[in-house]
Amino acid sequence: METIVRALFERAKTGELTEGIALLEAWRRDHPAEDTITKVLEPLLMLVGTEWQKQCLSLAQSYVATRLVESALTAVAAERAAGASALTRGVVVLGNVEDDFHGMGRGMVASMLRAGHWEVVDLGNDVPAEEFVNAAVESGAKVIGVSAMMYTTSLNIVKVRRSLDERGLSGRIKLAVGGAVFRLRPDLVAEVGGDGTCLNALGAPELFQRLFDAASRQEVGHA
Amino acid sequence: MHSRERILAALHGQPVDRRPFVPVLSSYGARLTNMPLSRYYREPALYAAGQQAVVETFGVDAVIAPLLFPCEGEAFGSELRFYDNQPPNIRRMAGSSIDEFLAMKMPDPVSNPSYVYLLESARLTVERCGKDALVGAILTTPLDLPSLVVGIEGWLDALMFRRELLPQVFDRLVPQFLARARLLKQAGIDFYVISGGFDNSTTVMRSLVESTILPVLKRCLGELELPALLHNGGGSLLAFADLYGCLPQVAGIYLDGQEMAEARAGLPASCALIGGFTELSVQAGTPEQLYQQARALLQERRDDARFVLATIGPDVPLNTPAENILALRRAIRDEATEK
Repeated sequence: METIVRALFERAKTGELTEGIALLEAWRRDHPAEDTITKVLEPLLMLVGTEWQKQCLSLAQSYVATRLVESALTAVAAERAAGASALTRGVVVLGNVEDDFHGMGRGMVASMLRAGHWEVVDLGNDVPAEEFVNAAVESGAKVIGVSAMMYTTSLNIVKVRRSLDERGLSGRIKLAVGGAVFRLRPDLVAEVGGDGTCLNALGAPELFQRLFDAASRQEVGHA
Repeated sequence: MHSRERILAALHGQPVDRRPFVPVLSSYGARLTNMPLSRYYREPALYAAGQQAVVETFGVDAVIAPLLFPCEGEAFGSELRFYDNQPPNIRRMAGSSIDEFLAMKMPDPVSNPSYVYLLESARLTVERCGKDALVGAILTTPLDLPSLVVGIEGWLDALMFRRELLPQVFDRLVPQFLARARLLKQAGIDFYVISGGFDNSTTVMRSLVESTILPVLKRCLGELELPALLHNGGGSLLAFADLYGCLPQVAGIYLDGQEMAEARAGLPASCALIGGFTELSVQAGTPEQLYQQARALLQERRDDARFVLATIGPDVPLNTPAENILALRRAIRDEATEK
């Protein structure tokens, strides 16, 4: 692992965002732009995710790491806009399910996905089931990611599943679910009709890629 | 023993006839009285009637005045949404940054309608349940309250990056906290449950606890005139138990079952262990599983006089079978009978 990754991780742990940003900017001056994501941000997120999973990292520390990543992504995006356009892996739709207003985790997932070259349509909080499905159809997304923090609101995800089923889209549009309650109750994924979940924002790019690939195979099967 | 004697004995490390039983069943009273939550969480008399039903149905030793943090955000202008199957939640925060928070007028703890509901519910719950059970009330600390007004992200941002503004925030909120504590005491409650959203290790790190959280808690708790139980929010207090156990007025700390042995080793002997079961474990288990788990926990803590079997985390969900809650009570009673 690059020394810069460890140094940034330590800054996130101690809450030193400004120092972390300065450190990364200095590193970026001496390295190719593409390395920022592959050699720094992705390994940093991997480390943050692992430590979070081990319960060695708090929400506050994860928040600092996310802010650090967002800052770097903004800089990279600005450079890309000025230069050659970047390829995206595809479009995904994100939102907190109807009645759920805890959007912080969703914001972190969106950051991770953008870092992984996904185009994210973020619908925000309290999104009705139909709106998820409409947005996916309109944007051509093959994966919908629905977040719920609490048990009671997680049950509303069933409505998204039902809408996909009724419109004959299940299989061709996959349903990723996540949020604090799924860590405590993994059995809920099946109960609400989810196609998959991940333990934290770090796992989102891998999960969405897996579901995207599965949806693509299904689409080919239908063609 | 009467519930009052039983709990006070447990908090003081004295012998009890059986372990106290204190699940968090704030909303469950609405289910027992067949009352829509939209009325239950607006009309204090209905809340008190619901808690009386909780006492009568489950034989609990203490009930809690509304576990309704969003209501305190509402006092500052946040908007609530009511549901059929869960307590109300904040649908729109009153602001998004700490600057906006500092520009807001502080709500009057006596006359603001949201605070009136909380206070009157506490008073009426004491009136209806006080003979049969102790009544506790939630006190939202200055460390948690801003998150109900500007959101978790807005408050985290201030805690981490706008630290120069924190003294102003706490200078506004500590007097508010103490005023509410006095009013609740006048309403007749027996103990405080101190909110724990931003003092558990899931949310904050130790350095923030030492630099910011602990001084505020000392300032708040040092002025209280009733015992305080530190609630775990949705996270764990274990990592900081050594710091919190010595806080003034702290009679107990909420912990999960598997945390108790380790917590006991690091806590002062005077601090009780409260808890054992998360709200979701009570909701998801079968009566038999919960009974066996409770018996195992009671056995593990058999030599610990300061232990109260309770649920931790948020309210026990409304769709939890009553048999599950009764299974915990049965475990306590069977253990006492077999002693």
